Amino acid sequence: MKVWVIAELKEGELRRVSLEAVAKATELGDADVLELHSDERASALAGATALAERARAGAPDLILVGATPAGRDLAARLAAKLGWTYLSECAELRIEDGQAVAVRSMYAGKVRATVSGTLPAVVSVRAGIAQVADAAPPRPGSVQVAPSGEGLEFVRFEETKTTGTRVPLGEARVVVSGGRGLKGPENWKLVQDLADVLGAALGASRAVTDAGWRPNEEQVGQTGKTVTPDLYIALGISGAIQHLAGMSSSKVIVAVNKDPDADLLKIADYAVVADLFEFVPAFTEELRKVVARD
Amino acid sequence: MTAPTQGILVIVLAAAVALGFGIGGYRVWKLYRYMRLGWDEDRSDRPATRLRDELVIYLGQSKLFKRPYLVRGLAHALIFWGFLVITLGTVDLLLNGIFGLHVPGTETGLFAWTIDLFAIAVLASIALAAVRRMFFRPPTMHVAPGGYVILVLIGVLMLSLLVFESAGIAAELVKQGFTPPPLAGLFAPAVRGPYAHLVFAGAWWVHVLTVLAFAAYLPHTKHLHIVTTLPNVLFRSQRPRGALRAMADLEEQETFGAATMRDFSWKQHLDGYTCTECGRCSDQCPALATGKPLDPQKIVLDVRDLLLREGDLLMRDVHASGTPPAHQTETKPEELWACTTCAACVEACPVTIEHVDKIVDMRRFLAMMESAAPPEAQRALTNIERAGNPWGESREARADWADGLEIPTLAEKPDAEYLYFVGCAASYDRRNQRVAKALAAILRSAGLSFAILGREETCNGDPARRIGNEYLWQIQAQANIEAFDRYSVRKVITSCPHCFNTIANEFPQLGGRYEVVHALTLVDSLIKEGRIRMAREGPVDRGNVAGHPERTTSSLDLAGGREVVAYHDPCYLGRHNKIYDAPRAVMDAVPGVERVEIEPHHRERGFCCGAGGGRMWMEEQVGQRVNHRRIDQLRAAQADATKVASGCPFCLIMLEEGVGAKGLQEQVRPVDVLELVASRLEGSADASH
Amino acid sequence: MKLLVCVKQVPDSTVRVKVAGDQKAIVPEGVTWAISPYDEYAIELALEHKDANPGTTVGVITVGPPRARDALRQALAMGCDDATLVTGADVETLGGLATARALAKVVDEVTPDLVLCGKQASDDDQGFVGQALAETLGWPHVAIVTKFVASDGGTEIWKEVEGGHEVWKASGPAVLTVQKSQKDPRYPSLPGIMKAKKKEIPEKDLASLGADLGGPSVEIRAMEPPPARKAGRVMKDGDPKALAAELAKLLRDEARVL
Repeated sequence: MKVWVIAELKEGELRRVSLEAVAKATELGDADVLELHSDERASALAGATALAERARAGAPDLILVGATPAGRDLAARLAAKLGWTYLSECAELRIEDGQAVAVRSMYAGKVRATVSGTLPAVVSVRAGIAQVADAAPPRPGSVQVAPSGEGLEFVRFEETKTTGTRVPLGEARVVVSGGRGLKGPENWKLVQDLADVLGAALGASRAVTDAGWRPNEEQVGQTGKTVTPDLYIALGISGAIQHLAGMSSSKVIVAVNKDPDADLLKIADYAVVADLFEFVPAFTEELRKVVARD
Repeated sequence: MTAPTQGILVIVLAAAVALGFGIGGYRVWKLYRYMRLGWDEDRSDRPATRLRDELVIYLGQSKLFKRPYLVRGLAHALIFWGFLVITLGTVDLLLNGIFGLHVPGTETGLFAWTIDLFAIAVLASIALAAVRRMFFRPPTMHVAPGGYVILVLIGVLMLSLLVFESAGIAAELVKQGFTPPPLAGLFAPAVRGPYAHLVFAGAWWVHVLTVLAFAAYLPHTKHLHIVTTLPNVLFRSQRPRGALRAMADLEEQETFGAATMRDFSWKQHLDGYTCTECGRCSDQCPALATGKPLDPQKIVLDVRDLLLREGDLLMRDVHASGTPPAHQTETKPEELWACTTCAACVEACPVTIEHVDKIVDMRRFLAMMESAAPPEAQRALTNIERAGNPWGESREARADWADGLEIPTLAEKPDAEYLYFVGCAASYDRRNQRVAKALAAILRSAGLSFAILGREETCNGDPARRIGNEYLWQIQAQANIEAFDRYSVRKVITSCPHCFNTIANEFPQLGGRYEVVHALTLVDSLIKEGRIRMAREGPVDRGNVAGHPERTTSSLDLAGGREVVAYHDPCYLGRHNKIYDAPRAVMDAVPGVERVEIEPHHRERGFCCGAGGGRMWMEEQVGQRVNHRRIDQLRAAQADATKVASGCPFCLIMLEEGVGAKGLQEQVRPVDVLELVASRLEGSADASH
Repeated sequence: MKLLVCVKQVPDSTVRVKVAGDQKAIVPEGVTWAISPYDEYAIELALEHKDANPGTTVGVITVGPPRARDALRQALAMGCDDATLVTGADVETLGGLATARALAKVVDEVTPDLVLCGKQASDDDQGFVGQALAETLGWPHVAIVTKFVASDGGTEIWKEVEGGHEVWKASGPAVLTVQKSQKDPRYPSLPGIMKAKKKEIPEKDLASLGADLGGPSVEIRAMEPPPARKAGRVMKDGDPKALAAELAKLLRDEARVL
C-alpha cells in the first residue's frame, strides 16, 4: 500500500505531528514523504492543485497530513479536488478491507466515533497518532507549488503584537490560568513560565482581571472566554461558578490550590493540594524535562 | 378680621389673583398635557389601600421620618402641616378680600392659635433648612437657586402673616373674642399706635401678593411636589414591589420598552413632576455609593427634563418620537446597566417615585429593540434561551446535585405536597448545591412531603426580565408554568428570593397562581410548630455548615459552640417582599447562634450584594465592587462576626467572592441561614455536604 | 455586495449528547438545536459587513432536515435578508462532498460575490464542506478568516495564522471559512425575531437540484458516549517536588495530554 505524508516544517524541522504521521505511514505501508515548496506564500488551493497533479500520477492509496490548521485546510481542499474520501482530525487510524478506519471525536469532543471510508483517502491526523521512530526521518521529496494565481493573491503578513507567539485563548489546546491564589501580579511569572513550557495560552479568573493584574481578554469564565482545551491547568483558582462556566468542558483539568475545600479541586481530574509557590516552579521544571525528551 | 380692600382695591386684588393663578395655572395645564403624552395606565385598583396610603404617606408624611432623616423629616412635616393650615387661612383671606366672605371656622380663636403656632414652626423649619443648605450641605444634595427663592417666599409669607395679625389686633380690627395667639399677642403692643392700620394693610398686601407670586412661581419649580405628591401617592403602584409591569401581547407590538417619552405611562411622568430633588434615593443607591455612573435621582430628573424639553415637539407632531430616553446622554446606557434593581431608592423615596420601573423600561428598549445589552449579559440571555440557565451549563445536568440523595422528582412522586423549585444557582453552583442539600435535609427531618422538577425545571427568567428581555422572560415563565400545571402543583418552596419573587409575584401575570413560600418563611413556621428540632451539638456541629469538614477549628466559634452571625438582608427577600423577620427568627432559634445586625445597613436599609438586576452576569469594573463594599460594611459594623448569613444564593456567591477578595476566609464565613439550621438538626445526619 | 452564508443546525453546545442504541447516531429527542457556533460567527461577519456597507445583502442557506428551518429563522432574526432550506430524504446522512455539491447548485443560481461558512460544524467536526464547495465551484477559498474588506477590484481577506494574520486578496468570488472572533455573534432584536417569524422560507428539494450526491462518504461504525468523568485523583501531603514529578508523569502517560 502506498502512503504519502505531506510534511509540515517549522523552522526547517519536520513538525512533531508530521514525524508521527511518517511513523504511521511506515506502519501502514510504503511511506513517501513530501513537502510543499513555493517561492512565496502559497494558498491551500495552490498547494492542493500541485499535490493533486502529483497524486493523480503517483496514485497513492492514502495521503496523511498533520491536523494543524494549515494541514487541515490543505487536506480538505486536496480531498475535494481528488474526489477522495476525507477523514479529519483522526486520533487513531488503521486499514481494513480497503477501508480507512479511524477514531475521531465528534460533537466538540463529546462523542468518540469510529468512522470509515473507502480508499483512496486523505486523512488529517492528530498529534499522538503514532510513536515517533528512533530512526532519522526520511528526507522529504519536494513538490513545487506554483504561485497562487487562480484568483487569489497573497498581499501581506500582519503580525499580532499583543499576544506575540502565544496561542489565542479560545482555540488553545492547553490553557494555564491563574487566580487570586497568586496573591499579586508580581507572581504572574509562575503562570507564564509554566505556560511557556507547554506552549499554552494564558488565562485568568475574574478576580484577577477585576483587580487589574491581567488584561480582561485573558478572563476565562461566564463573563470572559469559554475554553475547551485538552488540558486546563488552574493555579490558585477557587472555582466559583462564574469561572467553571467558562472551562468545565475542558478534557483534562488540573487544579492546584492550598485550600482543600476549593470547589475546582472537586471537579479536577488531578487535584493538587499544595502551596503554589513551592509546587508550580517544581512542576514547571519537571515538565521542561518531559517536553525536552519529547 | 376685615380685609383692607375697599372700592378699587377689590378689583386690584381680583386682578392680582387672576394673574397669579393664571400664570401658575397655565403652567400646570401645560405640564398636564405633557404628562398625558404618556400612555394610559390604569391605577385605580385597590382604592381602599390608596386612600390609606394618602392619609399615611401624604398627610401623615410617614416616609419622611426614616432614619437618618428624622430631624429633617420632622422639619419638613411641620412646614407641610403648617402649609395646610395656612392655606386654609389664605383662602379665607382672598375670599374675604374680594367677596367679604369667610371660610367657616377661620374666625375662631382655635384657628388663630393654630395658624400662629404653625407659622412659628414653619419659620423655625425654614431657618433650619436655610442653614443646612448654606453651611451643612450634604455632598449628594442638589441645591438649585430656586430653593432659596422658595425659602424666602415662605419666610416672607410667615412674617407678613404675623405682622398683619399683630397690627390687626393692635388696630382692633380683629375681634377680640378670644385670647390673642402668642406671637401676635406679643407683637401687638409694638405696632400699637397711629400707624397700626397702615402696618396692617401693608403686611396684609405683602402677604397676599406673596401668596399670588407663590402660586405663579410654584409650578415652575420642583416645589410643585407640594401639589403633585397628592396624586403621586394616590396613584402609586399597588403591585407587589418585586413585580415588574407585564408587557401584554408582545407578538402584536412594534416597539418594546421606552423608545420615546410616549412609552412611559402618565404616572411615570407624574413621578418626574413630583421629585423633590431631596437625594434620598441617591444616598441609598449601592451603585452610586461604589462609584458607578448611576444616580437614581438623575434617572428621574432626566426623564422629566427630556419631557419638558421635547414635550412641545411631541404634542405638535404625533409621529415625532424625540430622543430615546435610553440615549438621552452618551453615558445613559451605562447608568441603566449599573442598576441592581435593589429598590433602595424606591424604599427611600418620600413621595413614592418608582425608579426601578423606569430603569427597566429603558433597559427593555436597549435589550429588545437594539439588542444592546452588555455582551456578557447578552451571553447570559443566550444561555437561558438555549440551556435554561444563565451560566450555559447543560440542561441535562440540572438535577445532578441531587444524585444519590433520594430526592424524588414530581414525575416519581406526583402527589408531593410541595414542589421545591431549586433554581439555577442551587442546581449548578457547587457552593449553593450545599444549600439545596441543607434544605432537603431540613424538609425531610420535618417530615414534609416534597419533590423537585428535576430536568423539567428551567430558569424562571428573573435575570432576563430584569436585564430587559421581557420576551425571554415570558417564554421561561410559561415553560415553568406548563411544567407546574402538568403536575397540578399548588404549593411551591424556593430557596432563592429571586425565584420566590418571580413565581409569587410575576407568574400570576401569565396566569400561574401558586402558593409560594420562601424556605426561610417555611422553616420559621416549622420551627414554631415544633417540627424542626435542633440540638446545640448537632451531628456536624462546630461550624462546618458550609460543608467544610476540615474547618472545624473552634477558633472561629465562641466558647461553648456559640458564634456571632451577622444577617445580610437579600433585597428580593427584604425590600421587595418585606420578609425581614422570618430569617431572623430562624437564626434566633438556632442554638448557639448570636445574631447581630450590620448597622445601619439592615432591614429596609439593607445594602445590596451587587448581583441583582442581572448584574450577577455582568462585568463590574467601574469603582469598587458592590460586594466588596458590603464586606467593608460588615467588618465595620460587626468585626466579631465569624459568619455572615443570608437567604439568597446570589448574595452567597457575592459574599464568598468579597470575603475571598479581601483575604478574610479565616475570619468570616458566608453561609445560608438554612445551612445554620441543617448543621444543628437533631437526630439526622446532615446532608448538606 | 451579495453575501451567502452556509449554516448547519447542530445540537447546542450546552447539550449533553446521548448516543442511540445502534451506536450510529445521537438521540435527537430532547436536544436543543442551534446554529453551529462557527457558522454563527460567519453570519456575524457578514452582517458586520452589511452594517458598514448598506448596499450589502446577506442570504443564508442550509442543507438539512425540516427542523433546520429554526436555524434559518434565527439567522433571519439576526438580520439576514433571505433564507433557503434545502431538504429531502436522507439529508441527515449526506456526506460532506455531496452537501457541497448541493450547495454549489444553489450558489450557481444566487450568484453571490462571496460565500461564507464556519470553519467547521460542531457535530461532525470535519471542516470539509467549505473547501469542497469552493472546489466544486472552481473558486478559491480562504480558511480561518477573521475579517474581510472590499477593496479595488476584489476582496481583502484576513486569515488567522500563528503569530498574526495573512492578508489575501481575491479578485473574484471566493469561499471564506470563518474563525471565531473576539466579539460574540449578535443577539437578535425582538422586532427582528418577530419579523423573521413571519418571513417566508423557500424550500428546495435536494433530489431535484441535479447535484451529484454520490461519491465517497464517511460511514459511522460506532459512537461511544463521552467517558464519564472519573472521580479526580487527589494529590496532597508530599514534597512539592515529588508531587510535581508525579503529576508530570500522569499527564504524560495516563492523561496523555502532553
